[in-house]
Amino acid sequence: MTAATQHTPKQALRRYFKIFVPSMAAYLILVFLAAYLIKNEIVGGAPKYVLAFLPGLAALAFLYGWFRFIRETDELARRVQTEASMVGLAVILSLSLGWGILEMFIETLPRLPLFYVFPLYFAAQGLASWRLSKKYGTGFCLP
Amino acid sequence: MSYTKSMLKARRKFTLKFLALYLVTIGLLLATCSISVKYLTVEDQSNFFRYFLILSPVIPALLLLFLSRWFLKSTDELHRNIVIKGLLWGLSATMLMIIPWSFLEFFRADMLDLRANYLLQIFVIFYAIGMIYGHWKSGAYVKSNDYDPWREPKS
Repeated sequence: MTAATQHTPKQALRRYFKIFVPSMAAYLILVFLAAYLIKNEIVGGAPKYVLAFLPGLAALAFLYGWFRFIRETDELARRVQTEASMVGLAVILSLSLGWGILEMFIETLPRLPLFYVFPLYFAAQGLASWRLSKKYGTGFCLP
Repeated sequence: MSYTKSMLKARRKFTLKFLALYLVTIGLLLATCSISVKYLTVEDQSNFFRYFLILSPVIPALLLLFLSRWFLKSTDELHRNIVIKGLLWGLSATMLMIIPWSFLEFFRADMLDLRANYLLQIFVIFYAIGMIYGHWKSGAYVKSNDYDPWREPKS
């Protein structure tokens, strides 16, 4: 965060998409591949755990691109992204806490698999980002 | 790097505001409970507590984020960056832990039960680690007693 901004917001956005597209493609491929291999018990033992870890790494690459965008872009876009991520966190933490507490007391309630949390987070964050971009007039929104 | 007067003021105000809001929240929760026990029928009380139980965890999550957002607005660029870094660290570490874990759990691997309500606690721990790391990396951590408004700044 302390590094000086050396890119224009447009350049930063282009650099973001250069990571976003391959990392999301890798994430999708790895999720389906891991699900297929684990569900059909084609892999077992230690490789199963390594396989489960791979979609997380792909998502981490996407997050790296997003953080880099926040670091490289201008102050206004950084503010939009920070506020939007806080809104996303507020939504997802409240939902997961409420649901988790309900699960403890209502046995018939379906379990919430936690890997849904991050798609939900980015949906909330994206909506907030769109709304805040309109509010501050930055012109584009992410992710 | 040492704290300036405005940084210390922002940090002190943040702590005071957090404590005040926390006490008000606890007070409101206790007041609501005691009113419901006094004025509601037993059946209504059980319904009330069911919904109360659902809503109450929302409070710490919102409190944490509201105060972080407020702190971001009131502090300087350096501390703002530390908070942002903490948030981003918290988010990535939580994600990296949760995705594989829940994935294995979903496919019936022998994993401990990770409930949705643990998410806040996990996030807060990583958020705090990220903040501490950010402080350490930026060299911003100096005890507040070290600040002397009369001392000449070093060139």
